[in-house]
Amino acid sequence: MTGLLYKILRTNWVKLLLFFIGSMFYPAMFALLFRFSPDALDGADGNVSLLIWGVCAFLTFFFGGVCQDSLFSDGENKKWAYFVASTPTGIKGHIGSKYLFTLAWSMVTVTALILINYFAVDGNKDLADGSVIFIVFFYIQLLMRAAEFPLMARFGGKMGKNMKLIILGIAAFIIFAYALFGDTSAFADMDTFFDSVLNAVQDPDKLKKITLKFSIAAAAVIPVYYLSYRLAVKWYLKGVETYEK
Amino acid sequence: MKNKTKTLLRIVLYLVLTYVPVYILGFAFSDKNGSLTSVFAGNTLMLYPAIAVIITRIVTKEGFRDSFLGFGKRNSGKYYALAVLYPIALTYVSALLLHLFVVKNGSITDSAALSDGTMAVAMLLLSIVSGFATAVHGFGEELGWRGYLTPKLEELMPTPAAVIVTGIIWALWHGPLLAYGYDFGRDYDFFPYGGFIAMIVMCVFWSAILTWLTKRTGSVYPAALCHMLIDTVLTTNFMPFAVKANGEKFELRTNEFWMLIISVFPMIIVVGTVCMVLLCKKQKPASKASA
Repeated sequence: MTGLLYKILRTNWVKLLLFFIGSMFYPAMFALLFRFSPDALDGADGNVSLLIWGVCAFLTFFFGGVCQDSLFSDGENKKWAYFVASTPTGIKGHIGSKYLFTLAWSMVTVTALILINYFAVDGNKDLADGSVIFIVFFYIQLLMRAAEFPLMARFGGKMGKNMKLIILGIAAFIIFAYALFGDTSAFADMDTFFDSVLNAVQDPDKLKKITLKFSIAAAAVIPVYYLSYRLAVKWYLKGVETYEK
Repeated sequence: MKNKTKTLLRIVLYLVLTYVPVYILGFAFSDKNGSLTSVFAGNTLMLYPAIAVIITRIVTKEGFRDSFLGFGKRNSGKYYALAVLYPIALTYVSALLLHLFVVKNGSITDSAALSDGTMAVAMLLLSIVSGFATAVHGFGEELGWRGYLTPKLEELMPTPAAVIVTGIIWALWHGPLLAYGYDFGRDYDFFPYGGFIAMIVMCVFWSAILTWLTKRTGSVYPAALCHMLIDTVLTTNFMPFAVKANGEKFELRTNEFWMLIISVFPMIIVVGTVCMVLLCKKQKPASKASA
């Protein structure tokens, strides 16, 4: 498996480097602005800076996700697939290396974001610590990949991504249906929304429940990611049959 | 003889590259209380051993073949599980010892940690998930200590000695922080020398545990995960056992330095000794074969 990981790095290093630099562009720019030109972002401290870190994290993990997707569907041809299945490392190693690389990429992203955040905080102590937001995005990214990779293994990269879009579409439809008939008073406008969030955070009982729910959900992502790997291994050879070449 | 000199030179180069940035940052940004004034600098400290290994391996043209970067032997799953379970067990066994031997009056159920079950579970899970997400920091140290220094020292001495020397070097690497009260505070006799001795004992036994994990799996990742989880799980979940639910501290039979020694050290020493014995056992067949 180490060899397969080396292959991913060796054959994609330019793409990986560019994606990493690209994904870190926004947080790095904001950190530099926060650090060296605090007047340019006057009033952007506390909760506002937390929101900015959230947007930066979203962009960083979004670009990272695109890269992870493209690496997973890399090398989709029958010859390579049957060759790698016949090696001692086998399908487990082939799929495992992609899952591990994705995990490592996400871990490095979190660490880089935390370091960038602290670099800015050193210059302005009023800025929020975004570590929790970065960790939340880390687990969301892992969950997204856990849902998507088995589909990509079973139906090929293109079809797998389409299926993911269909699932997201169904989820969006359910949310839309809820928005039409459910209680959406908390989302009346941004002020009401932030008020309800702040109330939840300031109420110790609600905060406790939110913390517990988040911690259980995040802890559950790790076994889900592993199960997703097992499923992708199981479905891989069926997926190979759908390859064009 | 020539090979031994070469190994020694490589170790010296690695140690210079690991120690210099940490000592410079440690003294330059010290808050004189065991921590750093720069959060950024503080967060980079754990990454320097890995950076030092990469530079050393490039300069000496050693390559990365024997750097434990692979995923090692088959069926290593149980060692990954142990790497996660050990920090959790360490925290709760330490808490139990704290209330058995150190806390003067008051029950463990009155502590901030156990007075609220929901929060206790949430904090434990949060410390695990945050430790897992930031495991790159643990990897930063383990790639250096277990992935490079211990195997290099093993070329010069037997494994147990290599483990002990690694532990001592690792403990002294925390020097600038220890000198101002890192981990053990400042309120104890023989400050800061007592802190240095305690850190050396702790690091020697942890070195045995982490080396055993690395050797059994042939990979540095379980040790990295275990290291990071010790940092997050122990620091987050142990101290709430020393305070009451209302935030007041429990009355202790001793100061905080001895509180840590009496409650946290026994499990570190017991598990470390077991791992050291297992490491020695593992060595015997090889030495018999060579005889």
